Amino acid sequence: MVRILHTADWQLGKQFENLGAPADKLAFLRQCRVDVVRRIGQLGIDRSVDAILVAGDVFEHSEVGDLLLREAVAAMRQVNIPWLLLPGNHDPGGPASVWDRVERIGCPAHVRVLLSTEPVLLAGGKLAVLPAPLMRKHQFADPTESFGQQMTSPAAVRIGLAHGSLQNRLVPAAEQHNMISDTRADEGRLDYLALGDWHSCREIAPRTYYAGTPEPDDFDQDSGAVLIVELHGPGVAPVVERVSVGHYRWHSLRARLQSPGAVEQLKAHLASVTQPLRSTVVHLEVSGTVSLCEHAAVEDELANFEATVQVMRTRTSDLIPSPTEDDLNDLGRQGFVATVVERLRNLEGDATNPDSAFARVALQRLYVEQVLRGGRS
Amino acid sequence: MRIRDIEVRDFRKLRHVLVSGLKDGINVITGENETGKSTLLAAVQAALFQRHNVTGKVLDEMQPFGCAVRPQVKLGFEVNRGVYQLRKVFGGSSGSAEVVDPGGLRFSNHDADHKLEELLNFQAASRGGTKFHELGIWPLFWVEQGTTFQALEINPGVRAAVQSSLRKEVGDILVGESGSRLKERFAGFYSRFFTAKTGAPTGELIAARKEVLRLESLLSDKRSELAQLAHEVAALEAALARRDRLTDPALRERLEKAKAEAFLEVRALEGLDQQRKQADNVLRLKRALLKNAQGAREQRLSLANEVSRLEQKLIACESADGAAKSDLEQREGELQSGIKQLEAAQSSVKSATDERVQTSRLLELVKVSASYLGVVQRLTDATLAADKEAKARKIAASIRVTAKDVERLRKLEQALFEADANLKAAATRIDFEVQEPSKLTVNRGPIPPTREMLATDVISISIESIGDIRVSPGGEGLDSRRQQRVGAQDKLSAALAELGVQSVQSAHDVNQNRRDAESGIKTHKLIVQTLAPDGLDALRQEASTQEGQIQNLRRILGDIKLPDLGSATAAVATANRQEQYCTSEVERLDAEIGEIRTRRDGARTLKTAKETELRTTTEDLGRGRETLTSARAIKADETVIREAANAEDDQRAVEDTCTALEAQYNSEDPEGIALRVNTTSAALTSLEEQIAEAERSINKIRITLDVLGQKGLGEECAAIESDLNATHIRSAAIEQEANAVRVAYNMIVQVENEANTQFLQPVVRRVQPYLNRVLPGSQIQLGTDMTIEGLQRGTVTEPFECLSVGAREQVSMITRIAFADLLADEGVDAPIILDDALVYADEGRFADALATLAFAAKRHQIIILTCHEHRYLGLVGPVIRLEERERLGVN
Repeated sequence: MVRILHTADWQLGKQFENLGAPADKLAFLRQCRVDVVRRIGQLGIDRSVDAILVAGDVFEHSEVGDLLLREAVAAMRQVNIPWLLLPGNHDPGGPASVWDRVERIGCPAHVRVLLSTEPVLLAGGKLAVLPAPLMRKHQFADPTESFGQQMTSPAAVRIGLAHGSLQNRLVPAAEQHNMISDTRADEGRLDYLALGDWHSCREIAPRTYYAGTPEPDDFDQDSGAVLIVELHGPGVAPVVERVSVGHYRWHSLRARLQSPGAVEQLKAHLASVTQPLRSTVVHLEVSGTVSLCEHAAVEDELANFEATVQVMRTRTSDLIPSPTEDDLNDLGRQGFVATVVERLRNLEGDATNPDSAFARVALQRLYVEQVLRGGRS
Repeated sequence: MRIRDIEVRDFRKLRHVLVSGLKDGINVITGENETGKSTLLAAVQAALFQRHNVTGKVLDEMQPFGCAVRPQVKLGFEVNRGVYQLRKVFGGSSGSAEVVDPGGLRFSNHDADHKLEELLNFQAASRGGTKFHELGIWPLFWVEQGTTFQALEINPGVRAAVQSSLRKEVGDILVGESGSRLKERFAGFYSRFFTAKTGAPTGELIAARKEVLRLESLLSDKRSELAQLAHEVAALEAALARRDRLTDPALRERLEKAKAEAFLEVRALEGLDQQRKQADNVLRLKRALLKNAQGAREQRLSLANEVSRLEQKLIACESADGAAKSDLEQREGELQSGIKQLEAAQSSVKSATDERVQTSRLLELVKVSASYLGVVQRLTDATLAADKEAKARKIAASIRVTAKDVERLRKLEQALFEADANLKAAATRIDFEVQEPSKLTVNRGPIPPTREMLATDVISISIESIGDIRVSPGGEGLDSRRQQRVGAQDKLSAALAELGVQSVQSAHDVNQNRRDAESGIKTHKLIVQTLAPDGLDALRQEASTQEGQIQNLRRILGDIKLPDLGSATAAVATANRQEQYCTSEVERLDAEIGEIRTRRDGARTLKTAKETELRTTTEDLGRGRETLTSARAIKADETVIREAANAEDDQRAVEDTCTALEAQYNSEDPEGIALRVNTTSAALTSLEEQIAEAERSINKIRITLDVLGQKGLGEECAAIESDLNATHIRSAAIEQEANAVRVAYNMIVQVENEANTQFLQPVVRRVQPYLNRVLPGSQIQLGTDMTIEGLQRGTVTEPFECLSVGAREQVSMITRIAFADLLADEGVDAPIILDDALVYADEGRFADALATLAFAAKRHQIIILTCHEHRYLGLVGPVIRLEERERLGVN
């Protein structure tokens, strides 16, 4: 029996620029991607795997710094199990690739970068790994094309290791590169085809699996795991176990609020975020129409919640503050401030005025300053 | 408050002045400049608003210059129809204050100060002097000298008082305390994002925008570096591909095969070239042999021909030698004959030359002798003339009388004559008609022969035996005429005596003699100069020289008779012609002999040459015959000719062989073969170089990529992009907040302005009646801070500062009156004090302003301080002259 650990898409060096969060918060997410490598190594030891197969995109791109390369190598050096690293579309082989620098930095013997299609024999010849490295970002030919011609010992288990999109099994993309035949496992006489590229963990075809990224890096993604694969012999179906190794959980929420009770409605939505909150990354879209009074409370609640999670991306442009009778009473029905409020409401209603959109916010601000904070002055 | 009496002692320049009887309505206090009108106003201000115990600079400014006295002010004033008496003595701790209220209650010192603050509603400074312009409504109505045209200074006290009055009229439409705090807070927010003056973005807003721009720029730079990295990667791929193509073994094999083939062709060509060179060597040998055979043949024929030619030449030489000898003898005879003729001709020339010399000497003797006689004659004449000149010079030098002297004597003589005639004209004529003149004597002398005389003096006529007749002439002026004549006679006599002459005529003669002598000097001098232009000595030297020449020629020629000049000249000409003839004959003969000698020398040379040629030819012929005989003995002429013909045949055969080999060599294209060798060799060399260059390029790019790769450009780029996204979000939030604050703040300000405008309407309404008097058709514009913004005329608003100074004075004054009206309606009564307030208004406007003041005086006490008393005559009210009051005070 041969046991391997299948993982992929570590994307070390990913910056999460699309979150628009402060750099210090994002630094935790980046660091966590290195930490998960250590956890994978420990899992490999715990499960006595014969090899750890990384199916491409070890690095976010070829232009990561040397420090990160050294961190990754250091994490793998600690675990004396064969680590087979496959160049993917983010970190392809080829001239001046990131792998040249990895080699120059000094890779331990048990960490092998697969820059050719030559089969790698492990576990005393019982395991033959057929690599399909990407030598450039986009490759039109099926990188696994040669698997069928690769001859291995009949006694050896044949595992294909590739990076790309499996034909006919995934949602059509506008651009499709690095396409892999969905019958490759059969055509290549493979006992298991370990794939990378898609970040969700799933069985995509018979004996064909995407391990997904071990540390989630986006919302609406089924990731944060590796696969422990047991192969009992050539031609025998693999036994695949999904093991969670991720740290952060990514949540995407959409909350529609309505006064009265907007704050309670918001809290109900936020309650769906798993604990501990410090290990979550949250995307929240808030919409609806709320009173000036509740709008301020909603903003307070959002600010408080953001302080409890690692990163929160909030979109509140569709949350409309609309003064209620109570709001107007609070502001005063007579006198100078009442005139100002009335003028701002008129301006808000004047769509031809470019300041119309700001009048709503101004009114909300006026409410806060006059009603909520005015008394304290 | 209404002021009734003012008494000031020792306050600045005012020693003591008392102003009393100030009424409601208009009060005019007049005085010339520097009489203390403004000081009086300052004293009133000090009394009402300064504490009595002020010290330092405030006290110094009250005291007269250089005097440490205690200024004192007494005031009588009304408040709410109650009369108060105030007395203040300023002097620090020794100062004092006293207020007596209408009920007779007295307040002293600090209590008095506090009572004033209560009455007049102000807050004095706790330390130091109170600043008048900060004292609520009072400075608004106390207009100091020369400040009327300036903008109104609305201090918080004025604003509060006016607002209090306005609220009672229009209600609480202003911002209010809560609204003010709101505005203040939003003003603070606004200042975080915009400038207060222009509303331009600043602070956080600008910082956010700049941060976005900075990150965008940084990102652009990093992306450029990434692009550079990608470019380098592409370059590396290209370099690697090129290196692979260059190191392809098939390429090298192909190039080496081509090179080997080229070298094989070269070796084949080298064999052919060797054959060609050997044939060339044989040909050169055959050519040498042919040349030798042909040389021998030519040499033999030449030798035979030379012997034959020498034999012919010997015969000709013998004949020529005989002819040359005969010709030489003939030329020698001709030469001897010519030499004899020449010698005879040369002798003739000598004789002719001697004759010509002899006749020339004789001619010279004749000429010199003739010249010598002339010179001797001129010397004699010149010597004589020189002697005469010396004599005349001596005479002229001895005469003293000059033409001027003569002229002077003539004038004296003429004066004597005139005096005499004048005397005689007055004289008595006496005619003697006597029978016996002898018996008659006149002045003891005979009677004049003319029997007449003129008596100019007493004349005694004696008649013998009869006695004497004394005649005394008595004509008019006779004595003076006589004296004139005697004077003239004396002058003439003295002049004659001075010159040493007897009479005028003799003086004339002497002068003539001197002039004759001077004329002689000139004449004789001219003669000398003519005869001896170079002087007498030169003439003597010339005579001596010529005499020497004559003696010399005489010695040569001997004692001969001198012919005349014509004969001597003719003899010389004849001798000259003879000499010339003889000389030309000698020359002709000499030339002729030269030609004969030349011909003789030619003949002699020809003879020598013919002799030499004959000898040489004879010798050459002998040697030629000997050589020809020896050669024929060795090899016969026929043999030599046959060997030459054989050598020619051999050379032609070898030449044919060489031509064939050359053609074959060229047909092999040696240049093409050499080119192929070079090309194939160079291709391999170039291949090595290109491979090396490709390797260098690859290494270089790898180094660059290593450097770029280590930097982690991708991470940096993504990190910057992440920062930029976060900054975009923050910036958008700031933009939204800034714009919301801007909209809210502007709205607050706008509403406040509108409220203020509405709030100030009562003031505007009170200004308008006054304004209609001075500036009809205009309306005042007040700012939210109650200051005058400008005047609206029709649709145009002129800013206050753009109005004329006169208009500003008027507008400012009537606005103060309007404020006073407003406050008076609320029971706040303040006197309006104008210190030379209307100094820029023209007469028309001044009259309008007086009418306005008269109108205002119905409600207010107005105190006018001016040095133009006559301008305020139209106002009804007491006129107080400060000078009189000061005198009154002193008294």
